[in-house]
Amino acid sequence: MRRRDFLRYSAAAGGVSLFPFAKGAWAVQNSAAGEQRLVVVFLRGAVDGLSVVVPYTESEYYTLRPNIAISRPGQTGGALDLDSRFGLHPALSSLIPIWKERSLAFVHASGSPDESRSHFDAQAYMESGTPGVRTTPDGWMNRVLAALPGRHAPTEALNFGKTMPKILEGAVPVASISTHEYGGGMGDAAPAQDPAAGAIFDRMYTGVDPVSVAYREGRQAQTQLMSDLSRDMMEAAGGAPSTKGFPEDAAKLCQLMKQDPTIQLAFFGLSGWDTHVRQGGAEGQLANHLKPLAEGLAQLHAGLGSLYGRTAVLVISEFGRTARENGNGGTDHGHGNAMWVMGGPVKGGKVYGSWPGLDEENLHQQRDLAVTTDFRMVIGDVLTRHLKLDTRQVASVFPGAPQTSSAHLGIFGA
Amino acid sequence: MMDLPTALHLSNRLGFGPAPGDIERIAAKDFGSFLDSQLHPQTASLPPNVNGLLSTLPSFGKNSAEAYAEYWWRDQVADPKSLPQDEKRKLKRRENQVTREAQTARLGRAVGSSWQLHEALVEFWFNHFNVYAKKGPLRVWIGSYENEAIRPHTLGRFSDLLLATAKHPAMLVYLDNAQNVAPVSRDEDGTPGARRLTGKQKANGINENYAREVMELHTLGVDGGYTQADVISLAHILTGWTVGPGADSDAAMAADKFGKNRGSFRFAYRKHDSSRELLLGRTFSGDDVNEGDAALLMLAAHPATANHISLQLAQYFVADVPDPALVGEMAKTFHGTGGDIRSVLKTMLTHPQFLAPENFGTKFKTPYRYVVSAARAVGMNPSNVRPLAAALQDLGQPLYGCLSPDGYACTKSAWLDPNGLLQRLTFAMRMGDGEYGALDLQDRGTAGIDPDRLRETLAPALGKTTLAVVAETPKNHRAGAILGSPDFMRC
Repeated sequence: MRRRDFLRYSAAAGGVSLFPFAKGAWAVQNSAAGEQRLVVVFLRGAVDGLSVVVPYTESEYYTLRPNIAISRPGQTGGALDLDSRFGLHPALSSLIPIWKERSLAFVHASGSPDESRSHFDAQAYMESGTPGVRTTPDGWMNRVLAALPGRHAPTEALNFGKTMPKILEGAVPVASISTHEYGGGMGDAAPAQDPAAGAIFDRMYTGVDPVSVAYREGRQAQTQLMSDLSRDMMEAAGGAPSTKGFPEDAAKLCQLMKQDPTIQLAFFGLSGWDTHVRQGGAEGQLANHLKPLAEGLAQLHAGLGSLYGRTAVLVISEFGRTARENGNGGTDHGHGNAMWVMGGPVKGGKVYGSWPGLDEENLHQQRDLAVTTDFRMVIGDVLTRHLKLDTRQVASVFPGAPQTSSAHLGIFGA
Repeated sequence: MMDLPTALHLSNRLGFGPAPGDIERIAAKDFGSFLDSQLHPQTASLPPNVNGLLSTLPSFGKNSAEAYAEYWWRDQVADPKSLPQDEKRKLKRRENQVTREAQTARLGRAVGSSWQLHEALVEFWFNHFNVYAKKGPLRVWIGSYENEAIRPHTLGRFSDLLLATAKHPAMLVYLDNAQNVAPVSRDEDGTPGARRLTGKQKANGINENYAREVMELHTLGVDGGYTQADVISLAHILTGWTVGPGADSDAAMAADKFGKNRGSFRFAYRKHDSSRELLLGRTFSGDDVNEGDAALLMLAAHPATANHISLQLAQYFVADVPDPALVGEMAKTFHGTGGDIRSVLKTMLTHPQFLAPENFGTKFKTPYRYVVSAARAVGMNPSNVRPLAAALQDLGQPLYGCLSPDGYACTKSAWLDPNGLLQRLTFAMRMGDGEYGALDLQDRGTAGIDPDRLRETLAPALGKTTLAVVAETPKNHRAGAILGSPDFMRC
């Protein structure tokens, strides 16, 4: 357990100084620091994958969605052609250069073997990594953390947001950072924002008991984050009104990652995708959300610099939406979706997965895009080919997953 | 008469910690009569300021049918999806307000009621029979669930508690039993036929969710000796246990169906599976409409349940890893009294383990316990509790916001983490300043909470290091320092 490592180390260092290590020392201790990165973006509410990666060569698509289908490439508001089979939603145009340079890929018709169409169940399953099992206490990203070698720096994993999402819950501590919208990240907590508090509690939490140790870990993470971020960004993050949302947070992550080599995992949860009513087509509700999402991803691509070559970005959602539009210009909860995979090591410029088609007999329960690739297989590729975990470690991240060790999708270079 | 450490221990464990003057008051009593009084609460008797608070909450006290009729607008209008956006926003705000009022009612009583053991058990049993307030109509049912299914039974018979939660619309919807129907249901004239229901809540067969959780979480426990076959059997037995027409009917027909069953428990005969089932070795004939009750009573009386519940109670009240001998004694009482909670608690609280000094101050407070104990310690007026709900959100334990059926844990390993701890310190400093309702608005000056009074209230809890640091802290930060001290993180 990581906390006991910390405890032994600080006791050996002969005291309980608050900052027993310089920032660089963590990098030296932790040989994995500076290796592969993983950013997970969870689109909460079930994004409409059929509007993201548009099957424009299927006539069924246009029959099923007379009002909200994205037109074929070349037409007004048409999809941006990807591979002569699929096109990209026009609001995602910022991603086209990344597609063209082959570091962006999609896995279509992917998702969960569990058929629940409940947001909270399906999100819980995708975050715990155990579809159908409700009692898993932790999230798969935390289990990844536990599997990664070396001592865990306090900022090894960053959650952008106030409450700890299920996906990051678990035995290994995770740092939280405020987004432009929410407070409650470590950067906003006393004593960072209230130096008087530091003076008080630094002198109270001096023991070697777990509570004192947790306090010192927290202070360290705070200190790390504070020096990583410039004062301007801290103030902007703290309360200045902003509508930019994800692009700004993505920029913040880039800065943090470039300055702090111990940050390996990051997580964003973005909402607003549950388009039951007036989803819109090339323009409208969905498009308005896709645009800043793409801009944020483009920000990661541009802003990570040389780190991009060691970073994988996953965009996932708990399920897709109905193939047929509903009576309110929207779509309802579905099943299969597209997973997005972006990053230097990605073999991009390709739509992976086995496309089942939109003919009624190939739809899941005659209503949804089917699932032909288990989401754990896609993440499994990330874990084995990108994060270099072995089979046993992957099995600890996804207990009970179908055996996939030999069946790689090939999204990452060998 | 008791010594102060014991009085503090009782205050911390049989409730949410001392309010000003509590330790002296408890220490002046004898242990037996204090225990007796807490084990026999007059729950209708609340301080005037708590009653005053409850009377300001329009949705408080409404039962599930009333709350549903008044606040669950989606089933009252013919075509909810076509309402204008701002109309919908108003209606959504109104239904979320019901959840907020329920939170206020819970926090007001936890902070202000002198029946502290009862309030601690409300938290315990709610977590045990957890439901999530953001699922569908639970937004408007959450208060009635606690008031009707939990509160009347905190110290009563476990089987009553089990049946009350099993039949409440909140649980029926949360764990999907409302949609648990026989695979082939009978039509009006008794002919089997497929029933087609439209709308979001499409009931199309057996749903095992509740059956599994009631055995795994509510009664026997995960190692209680049931099999998947038992889960399926119990699911079949519980088919037809649903909520009145409102929760599972098509919205377009809703306007015609306004009847007294909406939003209440209903046994849907036509959806009940009449086949014979074998559950834990006992045969259920299937045609008895009370077989669901009988099955649940059988679970309640099962020896594994006695063990499971006793372990959970001991973990909540005594230690994260309770002594097996203690749990064994409690289970024996549970079994011997047919599941009388009061008796089990008496066994627990009079056992040497409970009063062993090595178990004093050893539990790490959950965010709920931390926030409520802070409010009590500063002598907060219960009328001001509303902001505490936001504090709970910030500390990671939103009230009624636990997504999964296993409810919130109560152990250190579940709640101790660097970020959570720092958030508590933020809360402590602000509360020390008088925020979060700690002080009435007009009393909030530059001085904040009186640190001397706070120190007196918590005297037996504060160690030498804490007191020394507090003494050296500028006066206006002392209250925050006390509330954020390691001593106050423990109970």
